[in-house]
Amino acid sequence: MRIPQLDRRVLYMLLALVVSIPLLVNVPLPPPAITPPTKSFYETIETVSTDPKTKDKLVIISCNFGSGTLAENLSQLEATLNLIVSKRMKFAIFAFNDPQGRDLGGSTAQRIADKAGYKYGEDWVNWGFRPPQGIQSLLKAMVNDLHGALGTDVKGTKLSTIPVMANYKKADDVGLIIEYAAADTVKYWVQFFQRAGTTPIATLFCPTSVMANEAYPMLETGQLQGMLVGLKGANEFETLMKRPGFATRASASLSYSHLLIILLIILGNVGMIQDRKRQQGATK
Amino acid sequence: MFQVQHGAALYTHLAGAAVVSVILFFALTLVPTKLRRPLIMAVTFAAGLFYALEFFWPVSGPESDQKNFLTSYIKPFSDITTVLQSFALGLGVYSLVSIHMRKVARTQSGWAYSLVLIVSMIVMVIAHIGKEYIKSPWVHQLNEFAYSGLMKSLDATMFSIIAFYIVSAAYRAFRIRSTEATILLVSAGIIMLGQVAIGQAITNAIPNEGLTANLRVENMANWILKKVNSPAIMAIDFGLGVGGLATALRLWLSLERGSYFEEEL
Repeated sequence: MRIPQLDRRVLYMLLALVVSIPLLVNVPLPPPAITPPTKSFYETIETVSTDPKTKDKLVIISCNFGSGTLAENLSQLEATLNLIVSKRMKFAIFAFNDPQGRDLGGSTAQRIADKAGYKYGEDWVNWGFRPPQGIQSLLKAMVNDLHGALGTDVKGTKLSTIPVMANYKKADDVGLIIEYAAADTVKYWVQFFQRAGTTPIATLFCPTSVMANEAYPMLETGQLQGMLVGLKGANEFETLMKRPGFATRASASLSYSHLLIILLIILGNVGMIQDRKRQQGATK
Repeated sequence: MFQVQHGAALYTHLAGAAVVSVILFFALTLVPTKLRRPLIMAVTFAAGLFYALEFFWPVSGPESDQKNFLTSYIKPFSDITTVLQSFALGLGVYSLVSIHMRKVARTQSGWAYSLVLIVSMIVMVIAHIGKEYIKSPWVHQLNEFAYSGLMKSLDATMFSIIAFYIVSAAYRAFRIRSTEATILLVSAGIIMLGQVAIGQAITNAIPNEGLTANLRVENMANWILKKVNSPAIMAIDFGLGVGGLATALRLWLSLERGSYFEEEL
């Protein structure tokens, strides 16, 4: 049987159906296997939140993503923030690569913090957005003086007057950095902040799936303690927390779209082999 | 060195900074042509030297607060960098608006797109900056409409379109025409299956302990990512790092040649 050449519009329609149907109708799916980067990500938060040396330190939530990668980065942010507030850890929202990160991270944090009974200024703070061009020098300045380097929070209030920041003045007061990004911005934390204090700060990374490949070497070298790889990482994290959210619902779309791509690659290759045989037959 | 200001003091400082900047820029335009290049070289070298010295100079003091004599100037330098970048942003906006305004005024081809750009820019600036300072509900509604209603959705839409191109490319271009292409295809297939629950389910029956665990698709995918992908990325990063260092040195010492570096100033 000859494989017909599929029109581009048919392919687009197939993908649209495969992605949208599992979001509208509950499609059963086996639970995901928990991969080592996700496992170590979860364990790092557990360790930081229970270790007497780090449990009272600040968590920096660095939101360097825009609406283009909401499906992946926002799912990761929601899943991890839920765990952080359940551990009663104090956190600061920060953005330096995409101005949208300030609002997307801030509004998500506000929603989750309100549910958990967190108060702005007492339990968490939004440092706001800083331009990416000067981020290297800003991070270097933050090492010894968080208040002076950052100046004010997103509302224009001096950091030194915000209660939650009273005990957090330098890199040594930070217990954990989590970077949510659509690019490789975690390298700035690793280069200029992570090891600039007296003890290295645990650093976790939540990239989009396409960016994850570039971060694997940092996992191998121990510069990163864990990583959530895109939407699939968020799905695994929700499974570990036993708290299904958007990532769990969307993982069926992800699964079936991957299957569709594999199927189309096979079909394309079978068609190519058939064409080749036909051409060989014609020349004989 | 620079303190955060509020209220009337903020506006006084802003006006003062603007006046000083204008005078400084005017003074720079008066520098003789022959002296401009040496001046740029000297400023570039001094700026780079500060960070190099601060990094390499020995530190002293208590373990939790080790500094050298330059460490406390990092913050003012960071502020100066941000201010200079803001000038670059202003220049970029001016350039963009002037080009597109000219296009609209002369009704050149594609002028309608230029008009959309200018109108969108003005609306977004009013809405997004206005919501920080103006209490009026219409500003917040405008921001909701322009940012949350339009920009966020358009941004997400643009990004999601990639998926359709990937599907089309996978069907049309991912062919096993050579040994390398076959290796690439098999690896890609394993990674794709290993990344999703339905792919992982294929080998769920295999125990996740002992030698047989290596046959589970997620473990194969993880092995490829860690043992094959990581060294390749590290090698590329190492090359990029060495190249970056060489370029940084050439820029710092004003040895760079070619476009932007040899033009008459």
